[in-house]
Amino acid sequence: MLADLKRSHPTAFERVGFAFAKQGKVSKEEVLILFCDYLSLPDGCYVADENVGAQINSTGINMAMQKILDEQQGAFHVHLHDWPGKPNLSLTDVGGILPLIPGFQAVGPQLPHGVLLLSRDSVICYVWLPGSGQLLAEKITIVGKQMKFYA
Amino acid sequence: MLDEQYSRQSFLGGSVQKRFQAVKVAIIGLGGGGSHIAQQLAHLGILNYVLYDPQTIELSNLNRMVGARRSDVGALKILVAQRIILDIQPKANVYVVADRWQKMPELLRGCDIIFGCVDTFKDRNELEASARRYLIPYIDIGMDIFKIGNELPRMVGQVILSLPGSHCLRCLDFITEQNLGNEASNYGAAGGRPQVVWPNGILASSAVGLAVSMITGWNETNNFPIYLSYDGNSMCVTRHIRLDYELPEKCEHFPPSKVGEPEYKNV
Amino acid sequence: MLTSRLKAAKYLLAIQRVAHPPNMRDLPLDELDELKLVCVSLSIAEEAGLRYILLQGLNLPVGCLPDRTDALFCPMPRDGYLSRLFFAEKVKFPGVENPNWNATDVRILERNWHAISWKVPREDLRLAQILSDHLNPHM
Repeated sequence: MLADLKRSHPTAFERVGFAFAKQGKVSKEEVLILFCDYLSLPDGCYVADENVGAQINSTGINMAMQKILDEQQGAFHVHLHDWPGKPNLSLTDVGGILPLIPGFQAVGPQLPHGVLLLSRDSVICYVWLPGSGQLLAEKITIVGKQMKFYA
Repeated sequence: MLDEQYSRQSFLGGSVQKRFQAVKVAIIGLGGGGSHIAQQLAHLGILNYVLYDPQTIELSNLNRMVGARRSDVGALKILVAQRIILDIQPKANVYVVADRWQKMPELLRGCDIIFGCVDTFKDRNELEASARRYLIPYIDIGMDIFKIGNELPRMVGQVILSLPGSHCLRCLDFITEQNLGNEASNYGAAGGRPQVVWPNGILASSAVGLAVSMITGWNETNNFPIYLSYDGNSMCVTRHIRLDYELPEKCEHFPPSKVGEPEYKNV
Repeated sequence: MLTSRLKAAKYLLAIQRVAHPPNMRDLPLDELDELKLVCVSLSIAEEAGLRYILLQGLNLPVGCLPDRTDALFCPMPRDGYLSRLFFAEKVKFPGVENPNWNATDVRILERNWHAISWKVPREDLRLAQILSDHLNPHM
């Protein structure tokens, strides 16, 4: 996923992808978001716009929506702020990404959706669970031979 | 400033103790192997545990169960393990379940690593499946001592990492329908198997070392083998020969999409 | 050297035998339709390379206690059996005094199940026939 997001694009300054997840329950208070797939957006899914890092077109959004329907997995918009430190959603991010969530919820109302924002050494995740508002993930674990933990 | 208690493990990295304190581990089976693992993790500074074991300590366990005293005979194994951990880490959160893990499986889901120190292929099979559903690395250890005819006893063991997205115990031919079937047909004939302390220690230490590598990245390598073989007769721990031969391109037993609650397709 | 060659040969044979997961038994639609006559609520899921049929609220043979329960049918070789039927609870079958519940609290598909040791001897039976054999262990 990181390698995909770091690729250069002919016109956009940043790349965008969609991670897909299912929900698991630990207890009444603790929910797990289990990421299981990633959709890399083709170059043609970007709109040329100098005012933003990246803007995806309706084709890209439709690809994400179709995958929600086909796979019954929740969609998470993913992009990278390529500098160190804990990332934060910019005003542009808020204006451009958050409006996608209601569309995802319409297509997959019983699935979790959200936003994954990576930096060079950190990650945050905003989640919308079925029937809930915006939540910030308390802990993010990258599972692999080298595990990474973010809180 | 690093706590003096951990000053000798500062080579693991600066923020490692915070990571150890945040990580939550499950240990299923607190006998010969699991008791070693619990003790070592406590020494390292791991603070969050979920322990499962329904059994009480018998006199025959004292030859190998780390931390168990003669006065513990009759006590629950998990309580002895809890005592070991709390004696080293008084602030540890140790949740104990005096039952099979299948009776309270939800507690596993919030763990970061699961250590399986169980006796049967059946339990391993089920544990791995649950771990895979919640994207939790599962580290399995086990040993056996057997005799063929009049030959010397053979001592063998394994440490296997079942990592979500990578090969599973079935891909590695450790769990097969044949050995599950053989085990099922011997149901009731188990118990009283030979067991001693030092191979448990070797296997448990290897499992803990593997976990520390995963949590801390201190050795900066992804290139460690996921399947270790222990030959107790020659006293060697080596990369298992299975890894030298063709493995499936990807694990088809646990595809990435099969996570979370099971999905049933209506007929 | 000879020992490691023998080990290598053993593993090459093992690879040929089990390099890929066992082929899922195709579940023919007509056989599934027959099962639906026995239990209306039928669904299928997979775990660890095995396929399972969930029969929700399966009506059990006359004389069973309870008379109705959820069952999980594995029509593929599992645990040394050609097929296996798991129940959500231990069932008392008429005419079977002490059934051998050799699988209790088996965790499959995030639920606990129980099964009697019962071998359906033939491989060529239809799904409904296999299920019937599992449900009537006293016959």
